[in-house]
Amino acid sequence: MAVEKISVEDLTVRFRLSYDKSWTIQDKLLEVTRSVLHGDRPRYFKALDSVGLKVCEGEVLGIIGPNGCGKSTLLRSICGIYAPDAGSVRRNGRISSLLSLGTGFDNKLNGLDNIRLNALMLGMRRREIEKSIPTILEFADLGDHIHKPMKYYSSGMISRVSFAIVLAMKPDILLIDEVLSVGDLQFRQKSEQAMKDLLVQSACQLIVTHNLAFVREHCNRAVYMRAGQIVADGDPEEIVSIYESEFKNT
Amino acid sequence: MKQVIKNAGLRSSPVAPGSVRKAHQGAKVIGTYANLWQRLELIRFLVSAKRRGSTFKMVLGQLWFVLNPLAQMFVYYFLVVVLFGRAGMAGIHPLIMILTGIIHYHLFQHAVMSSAHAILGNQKLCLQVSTEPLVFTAVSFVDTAWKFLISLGVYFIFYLVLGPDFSLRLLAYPLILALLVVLAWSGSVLMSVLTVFSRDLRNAVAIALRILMYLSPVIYPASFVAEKLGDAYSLYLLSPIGCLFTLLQWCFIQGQFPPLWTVALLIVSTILVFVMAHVVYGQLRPKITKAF
Repeated sequence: MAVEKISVEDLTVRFRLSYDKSWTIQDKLLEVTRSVLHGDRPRYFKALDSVGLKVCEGEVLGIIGPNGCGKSTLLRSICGIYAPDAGSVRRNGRISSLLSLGTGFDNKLNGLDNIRLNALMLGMRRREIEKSIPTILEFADLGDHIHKPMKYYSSGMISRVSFAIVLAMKPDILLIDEVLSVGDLQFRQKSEQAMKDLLVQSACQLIVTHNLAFVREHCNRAVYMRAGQIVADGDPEEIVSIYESEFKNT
Repeated sequence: MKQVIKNAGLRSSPVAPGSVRKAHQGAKVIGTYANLWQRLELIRFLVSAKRRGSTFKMVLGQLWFVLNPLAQMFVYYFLVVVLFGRAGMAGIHPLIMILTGIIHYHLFQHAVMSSAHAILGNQKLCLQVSTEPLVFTAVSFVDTAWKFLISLGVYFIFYLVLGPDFSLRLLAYPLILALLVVLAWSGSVLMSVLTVFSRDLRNAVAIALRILMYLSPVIYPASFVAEKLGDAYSLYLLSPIGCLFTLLQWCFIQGQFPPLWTVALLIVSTILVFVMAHVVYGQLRPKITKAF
């Protein structure tokens, strides 16, 4: 029986809408007055609404859905960035996330120092990083560019470095949010192979993407999210078809 | 290897499997510091990068960290001693008196003010990588403390040349410094987390810190206040910073020792401020990423 790596139960994450509302003293006073006189409570938006999801080892889960449906929020909640307002998230294993390109990089530092910085940010130890640097450099394949400041890197080059670091962590759970599409064809093939290799090491992957062909080809399971809820879960081919048919109907 | 996250609360490093998250639970102080300890290498790296970044393409580089407090000291010397003719305390060079206050107040002021941007300035990062937000506060604090140590070195050179003879009172300095560091760190923690929710705070605190400096014996001897206030002097010493700087003057420039009960109050209030800062941080931490 496959080991359960992630278990999300009745997960609700909400955001206070009024955070950005009262920027002036006048607005703030109005807000306080309304709150006192009319008992107005702050308004909340449910980004995730009682979401339930279990992911086992060996699964490559594609998460699809329209913009604003809660895909990235789900990934961030699993990662531990957003604290749940209700429900729970269980994680079993070392988690590594690639949610945005260039995050945790300092443009003034060269590629090598940025590898150290980003890997430390992701939770790797210094000794572990130094050991992994040759592998990272080989995977990123940037040649002498690695000694240049990162401000001269293209988004594809940043993507290479980011992905190489995440893979060097040898995570049990890999979370990726729409960042692989910027690499060139050769790098994409290389990353896909690396992700397959990761699965052999009893890892599971959660990939948020709008690339439906990628979900069909590389995922062995898919979920379709809409308005903060999972509306369909199953075979990628089937789920992508449901999504496409709903999209056509609208 | 299992991690459970339930309704807000504890945050673990991505490489530290085995933590539990529960409903509306604040962060535990020990858990927070355990996370900081795990991220010590990251803190060191970020401090070093920040230091290099702050002197990037500068001719004088790190010398500015010495020149800044020196320049400010000469400004106050000009204002207090030359312009207003206050000679300070008998037998004590006015420069030493002013430097004692300025150097130490800078630690407190800069620690609090620079932390205002610590978490807020890294909001993008906090939304992409699961990390303890206090890491950024620690980076800002360590950077300030490092600059303080440079200034302190300069101060001791001045002290050896212009200061009074060695006194056993100096042995109390580590304890006084420890109190100042705890107060400064607590202020940093509060400031870094509260500015996420109220950005006005940065300006308000900047004004408050300026007022606090003039209300405390930083650039004038505590004995002046004692003369002016008479019996009300004890009330003046209720301010932890006022009492702390009176103690500093006692330690370095042979000032009066404040009443013992005010010192006891200073220690108690330092501990209380530390606890309060961590309670506030613990309660607000689950809301930080949602407030950006």
